[in-house]
Amino acid sequence: MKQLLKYEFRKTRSVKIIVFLVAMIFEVLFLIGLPFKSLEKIGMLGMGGLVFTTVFGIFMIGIIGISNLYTDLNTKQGYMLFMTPRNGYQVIGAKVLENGLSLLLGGIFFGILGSIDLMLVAVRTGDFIKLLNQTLHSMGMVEISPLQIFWSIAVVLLFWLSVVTMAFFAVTLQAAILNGKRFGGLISIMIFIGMNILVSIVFSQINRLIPMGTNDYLNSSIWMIESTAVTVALYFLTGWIVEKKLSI
Amino acid sequence: MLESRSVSKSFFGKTVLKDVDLILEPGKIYALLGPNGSGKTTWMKLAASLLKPTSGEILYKEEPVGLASRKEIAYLPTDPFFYSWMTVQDVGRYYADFFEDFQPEAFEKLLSKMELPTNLKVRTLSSGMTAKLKIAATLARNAKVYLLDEPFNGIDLLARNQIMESIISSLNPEVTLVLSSHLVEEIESVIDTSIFMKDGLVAEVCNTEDLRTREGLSLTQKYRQIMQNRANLG
Repeated sequence: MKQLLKYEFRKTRSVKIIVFLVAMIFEVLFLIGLPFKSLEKIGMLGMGGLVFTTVFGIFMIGIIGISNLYTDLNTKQGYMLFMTPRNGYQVIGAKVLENGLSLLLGGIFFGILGSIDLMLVAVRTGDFIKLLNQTLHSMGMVEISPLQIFWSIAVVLLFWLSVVTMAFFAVTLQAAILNGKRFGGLISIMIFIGMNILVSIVFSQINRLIPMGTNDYLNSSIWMIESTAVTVALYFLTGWIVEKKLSI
Repeated sequence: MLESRSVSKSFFGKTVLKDVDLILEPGKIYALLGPNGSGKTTWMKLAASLLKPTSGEILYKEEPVGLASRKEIAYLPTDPFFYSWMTVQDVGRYYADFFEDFQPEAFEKLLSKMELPTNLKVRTLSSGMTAKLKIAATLARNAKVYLLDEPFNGIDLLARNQIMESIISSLNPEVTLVLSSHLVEEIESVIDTSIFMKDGLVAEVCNTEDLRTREGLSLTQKYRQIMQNRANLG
């Protein structure tokens, strides 16, 4: 598993380096604009860019994982993985784990960066956070704090990982059925959409059982448990398809 | 050692391999011979456990091929398959990471014999160089069974001799070698048993030495005879 994981990380390295470099460029712009009133616009551009890079980066980590799996299952490149003495659960496990760890590390990185930047803004303009929190509060949203940032990122990451695992399942199922035939990508997307609808229905049925006015943290904890359950269930199902049904 | 029992494979209702029965023993060199689409690659991929049979089974050491057999069966596919970001050296590292029987020194020796620099990126290699790299990585494994699917594809005449030498020198009495090639004449001198395939069926299995001494035929003549007969029958 260690070796599989090593190569999964290697396959996605370039995309992660690009995301990191783009984030650093926006961070520099933000830091340039922070101390000087005259450079405020550059700072705002940096801040906006960082928010965009966080969302885009996390999205890209998932997409690149899905794209790599599609290539591994539908092209000759798949021999590299499936010629090795590793079973389907290990192969898929390494991919899910790589994605989960990349999302976690990405989340921690952007979480720390976001917290530091918020603290810097607070030092620079003491009333900025207060004003922001008042606005959020009036909109019925929770206030911003480093804990809140990390908690929100954890919820989003676990949800996103379950979406990525759904896509892994869809890609693997189409590869097992179609065996590299045309329209594989389209069929995968259709299976993926179907899975999403099904999971959403199940989630909404479960969430109906939660009483109104429940604490936000408890609500999001349930959401995290649901996402994790989907990830684990689909991982085993995908591993089984690879092991028993898939031809490369 | 490697046994194919009534193995069939279909893709979307089209049967590409029909009831293939074979027993391959250690210490022998087998040639899978037949035109394109005769089922050679499909059988090799089944033996390498990359494909699942529609019916029948392939046994290695009396167990169905799979995870355990991949440790001892080295498969060389026809098509290039290395990750494009890899260098020649990375390919060696990858094999060393995954195959316990991989010998890095043997890999380096083969690369130097084939004059393949280790720092080149896989994506920049010509088809001939890629073929050499595939051969080096596969033969550097101390495997019990080698399945080499068209190993001479894209390789010039002189390099072919080099590769054939490397293949022969990597053999020992415990090893089974299965070779598929269109270049019947070039492999004739090293083959013990020839398996002729046509339309997904095993048309005939011949001992190459018996073919020469008893029937007075070369492998090429036998190949023509079998393929033309079947074409006429068809």
